[in-house]
Amino acid sequence: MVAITQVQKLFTSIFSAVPDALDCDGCFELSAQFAEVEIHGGELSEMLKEVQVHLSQCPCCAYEYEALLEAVRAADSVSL
Amino acid sequence: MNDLKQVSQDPWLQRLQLGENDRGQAIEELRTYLVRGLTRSLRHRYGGKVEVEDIAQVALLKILGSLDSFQHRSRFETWAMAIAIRVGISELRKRYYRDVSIDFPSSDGSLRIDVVDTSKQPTQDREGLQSLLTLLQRMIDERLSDKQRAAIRGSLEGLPVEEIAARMASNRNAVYKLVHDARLKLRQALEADGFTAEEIFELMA
Repeated sequence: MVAITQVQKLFTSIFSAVPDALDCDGCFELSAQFAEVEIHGGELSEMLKEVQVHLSQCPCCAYEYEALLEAVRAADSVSL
Repeated sequence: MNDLKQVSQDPWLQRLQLGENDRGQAIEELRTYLVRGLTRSLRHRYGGKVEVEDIAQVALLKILGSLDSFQHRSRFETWAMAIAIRVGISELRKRYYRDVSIDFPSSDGSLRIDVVDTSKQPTQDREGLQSLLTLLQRMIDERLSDKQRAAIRGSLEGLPVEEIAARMASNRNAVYKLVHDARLKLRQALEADGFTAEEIFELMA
């Protein structure tokens, strides 16, 4: 048996599914570069836009990316 | 992208590529940097039950073993932190899900969309919702492979792809592809049947 909220999440993930050029490792390889664009600003290259597409569909990678942003911001704030 | 001349002089890389006796200071500085970031970022994730110093140590070994794969697309320390975070989150997930009892993969490998309770839906919507769920079940049964059904079930249980992969004796990339392809198939099938996201969410509201 599943809860209605689980089914809602399933439908959300189904209707947000779009073709994804990256797998999780491909996303990981570009995540540091993507994080720096987010932290320091700048335009996303076509390649980095693929990271955005993957993160929007892979909660596992999105969670790690969010953790990376927090870690880099914390480490840099003391380094400066 | 950074200027190539500038990045080829990356001070971290230069210092870490010195001989065993000379790179100690650089390793210590990198370790301190990683510990600072990991401490802030990991403490509130999956219960935070992990020794940051140990994670930093494992990550350092990985980083030092992969210096050749650093492609200068970012600062060295951001690249290194990405490795450390992946090591840390992976360890936290392992520990967290070791203690979580979820029937996955299930013994029969099925994926049933039997909703616990639809009584809060208005009667008219309840009937519409039941028809929709019956249709979704048919699509799942007819269009998805056994592995796709199993991966979607893990996802429905809230498991991250990394944990689903571990339990299916597979790897993260393969499981992500299973889940993603399954979602695309179901989306195409629902849209071909004339359903829109708005209509479905209205039924479930």
